[in-house]
Amino acid sequence: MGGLEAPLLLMRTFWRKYGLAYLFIAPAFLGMLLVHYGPMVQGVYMGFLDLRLQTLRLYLQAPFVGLENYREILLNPESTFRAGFLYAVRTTLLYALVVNTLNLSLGLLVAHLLNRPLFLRGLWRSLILLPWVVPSYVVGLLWGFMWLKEGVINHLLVDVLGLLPQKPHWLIGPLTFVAIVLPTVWRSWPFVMVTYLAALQTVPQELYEAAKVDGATPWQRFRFVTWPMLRPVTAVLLLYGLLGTMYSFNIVYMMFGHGAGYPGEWGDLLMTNLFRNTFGMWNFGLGAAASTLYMLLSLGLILFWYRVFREDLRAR
Amino acid sequence: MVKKALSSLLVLASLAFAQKTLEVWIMPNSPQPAEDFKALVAPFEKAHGVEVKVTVLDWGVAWTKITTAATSGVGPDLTQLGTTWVGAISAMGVLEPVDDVLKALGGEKAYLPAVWRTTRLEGARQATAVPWFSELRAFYYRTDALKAAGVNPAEMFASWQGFEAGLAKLKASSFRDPETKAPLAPLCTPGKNSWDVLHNAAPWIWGAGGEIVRQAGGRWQSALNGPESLEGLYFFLSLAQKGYVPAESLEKNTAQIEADFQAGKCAVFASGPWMVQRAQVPEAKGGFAERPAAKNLGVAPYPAGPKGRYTFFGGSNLALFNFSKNKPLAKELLKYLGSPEAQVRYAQMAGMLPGLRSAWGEPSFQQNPLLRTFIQAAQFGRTYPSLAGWGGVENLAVQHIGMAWDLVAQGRLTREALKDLMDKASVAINQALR
Repeated sequence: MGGLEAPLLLMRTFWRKYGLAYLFIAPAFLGMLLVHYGPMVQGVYMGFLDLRLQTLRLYLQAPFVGLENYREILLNPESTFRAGFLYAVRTTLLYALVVNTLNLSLGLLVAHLLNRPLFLRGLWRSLILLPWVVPSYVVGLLWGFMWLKEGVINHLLVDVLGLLPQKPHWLIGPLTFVAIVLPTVWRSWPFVMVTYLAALQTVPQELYEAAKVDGATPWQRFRFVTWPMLRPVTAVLLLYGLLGTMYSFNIVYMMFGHGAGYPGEWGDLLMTNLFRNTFGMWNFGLGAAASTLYMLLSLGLILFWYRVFREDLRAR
Repeated sequence: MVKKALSSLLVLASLAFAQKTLEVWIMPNSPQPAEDFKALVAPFEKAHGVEVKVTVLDWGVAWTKITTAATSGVGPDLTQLGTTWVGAISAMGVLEPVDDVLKALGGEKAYLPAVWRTTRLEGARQATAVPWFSELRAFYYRTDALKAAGVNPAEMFASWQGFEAGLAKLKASSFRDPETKAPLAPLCTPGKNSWDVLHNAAPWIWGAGGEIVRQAGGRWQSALNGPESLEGLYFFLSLAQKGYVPAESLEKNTAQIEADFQAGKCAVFASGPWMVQRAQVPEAKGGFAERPAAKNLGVAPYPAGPKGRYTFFGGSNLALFNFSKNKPLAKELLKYLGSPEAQVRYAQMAGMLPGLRSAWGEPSFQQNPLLRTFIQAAQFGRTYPSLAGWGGVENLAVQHIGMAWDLVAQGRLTREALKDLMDKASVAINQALR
C-alpha cells in the first residue's frame, strides 16, 4: 500500500492545482474532438479508400487502397487532378502573396492616417469597415457583374476617366487574376486596418516623446518604435491572411458562373480546383487525399511562419 | 388501462397516417414550384386518399441532397432526376426498377428513342426512371431583324453554310431594335461561365459527325479530340472569333444571355422551350411579352451540319428510391405523373415539353407555331449516354471547352490550339472513365 501513496498524493496535488482548469477546458476539448479532430481523422482515413460514386454507399467500409490515391495525384501524369492543377498552385501562391502584401500595406497606412485627431474619425472607421461585413459569396457575385466587359468598372475606366483605350475582358485571360485579387483585398483589408489601429493605440506615447527628444525623424520613429511594437500583431495577421487566401473559395466560385464554369488558368485556386475534382468527379477518396496534401502544405507554411515570428510571439 | 389503449390508438393512427403520405423531391421547374406541383397532384391525392408532401430543392444543392439520401437511405419516396443524372444514381443501386410503370404508360414506343435512353443506366436491362418532361434546344430569332437584313430563316437554319451566311448579313444590317434604338448582335451565346457549356457545343460536335464519348472495344472513351468533333467545335467557336458574337457575351452566363435577347440585344440565340412561355407572360410576372423580342419571335431547329442535324435533348425524370416504404402507392403516383394528362399539364406549367410522345399531339402544343417547331426539332434530339461516370465526363469537357472559349475571347483560337486542349481533355476523360 505504501508504494501507492506517493503517486496518489501527486495526483491529488495535481488535481487541486489544475483540476478546475481542466474541467473548464473539457467542454471545449470535447467539442473540438467532435466537430474538428474527429472529421479530420475521418477525412485523412478517406484518403486511403477507393471512395467514389459506385462505392459511396459503403462510405468508410469502401475498399482500402493504401497510398494509391496519393500515387495517383503525385505520380500519375494522366490523373484527372493534373488537369489545371499546376496552374491552380501557381495562381494560389501568387494570390496569397499579392493579396496579403496589399492588405498589410494598405491596412497599416490607413491605420496610421486614422490614428490621429481627425474630423468625424469614428464615421470614417465605420465606413471603411463596411466591406468586411459583406459575405464573401455576395462579394463574388457583385464583382462578377461589375467586371463584365460592359460592366461598371470598364464604364468608369474607359467611358468616364478615359484611362484605357478600350474595354478589356476582366473575367477571361490573365486579367482574371486582377479580377479575383481586388475583390478579396476590398473585403479583407478593413479587418487588417482595424487590427493595426487597435495595436497602434497600445503603443505608449512616452516612447514617441522620448524618440522625439532624441531627435528621431518620423521614419526612424516608425522604424524603431512603432514597427517593433506591431510585429506580433503583423505575425498574427499574416498567418490569418495566408491561411485565408490558401483556402479562398467563395469569391472565385461565385464570380465564374456560380461554380458552373472553369475560372481559367489565372482564376482557378487550389480550393476551387479541389472542389471541382472531388464533387464534380465524385471521387471522394482522391479528394480526401488531395485535401490531406494541402493540409500538410499549410502546416509547412505555418511552421515556416512560426520560425520567422517565434521571437515576436514570446510574452515579454 | 385507458392510457395504454389511447397510446396504442395513437400509434396505430400515426402508422395509418404514415402509410398515406408520399414524399417527393422536385427542383424549381415552374414559376411557383411547390404550389404548381401540389395543384398537379391534387386529383391523385383525392382519388387515393393520400397526402403528397413536396420539397423543392434548388438545382445547386439537389445533387448533394439526392446522393446523401441515396447513401444514407433516408429520403423521399420519389425524386426528380436530371436526365444526365440517371446513370450515376442508378449505378449506386438505390433505385427501384420501374419497368412495370413504363409498361403501363405504353412502353418503349410511347417515347422518343432519345428519351427512352434516359430511363436507365446505359446498357442496363431494368429501367429505373420514368420520363417526366423534356427540354431541347432550338434557335430563337428576331423575325424583324432577319427580314430587315434580307435573311430567309428557312435558308439560314437549313445548313451550317446558310447559318454563317445569315449571320454575316445580320452583321452588315443597319437594323436597330425599335425600343433600344441600338443595333442587334447577330448571335448571342454564353462562353465558359454557363452551366450548359457542353449542351451548347454538343449539337455542333454531333452535326460534324463527332461524339463526346464513344464506345470502343466495350469501353467508353473520349471522342472530343477526334477530327469530326474538332471540326464541329471549331466551326461553332470560330463564329465568335469571326465577330458574329459580341465579345461581352463570352463572359456571361445563360440567364444573362436570355436577358440580353429579351432586352432586344440579339438577333439569334439558342435556348429551350421555356422562352416561348416567357414571351407570353408580362414583364411584371417574369416574362417579356411587352418587348419587341416577344412580338417578333421565331423558332428554328439547329442547322444541319455535314453529317446531320442534331440538338441537345435533356429534361428530367422521376425515380423511386428502393428504401421507400410506400412502393405500390409511389408507383401509382409515377403512373399518374407519367400519364398524358398530367404530363401536358405540368409541361405547360414548366414551359417544357412532355416526356410522353403521345402528349405532344395536345392542341395547346400543336396550335402554338413556336412550340410546334420545337416538337418538329425533337426528332433531331440526342442525349448523352447514361453513364455512371457522366458527371465527371461533363465536368472535364466543360473545363476544357471553357479554356477554348478563353482563347476565343483573346482572339487566339486556332485548330492546333483546340486540338491540344481536346487532347488534354481526352486524357483526363479517359482516366475518369477508367
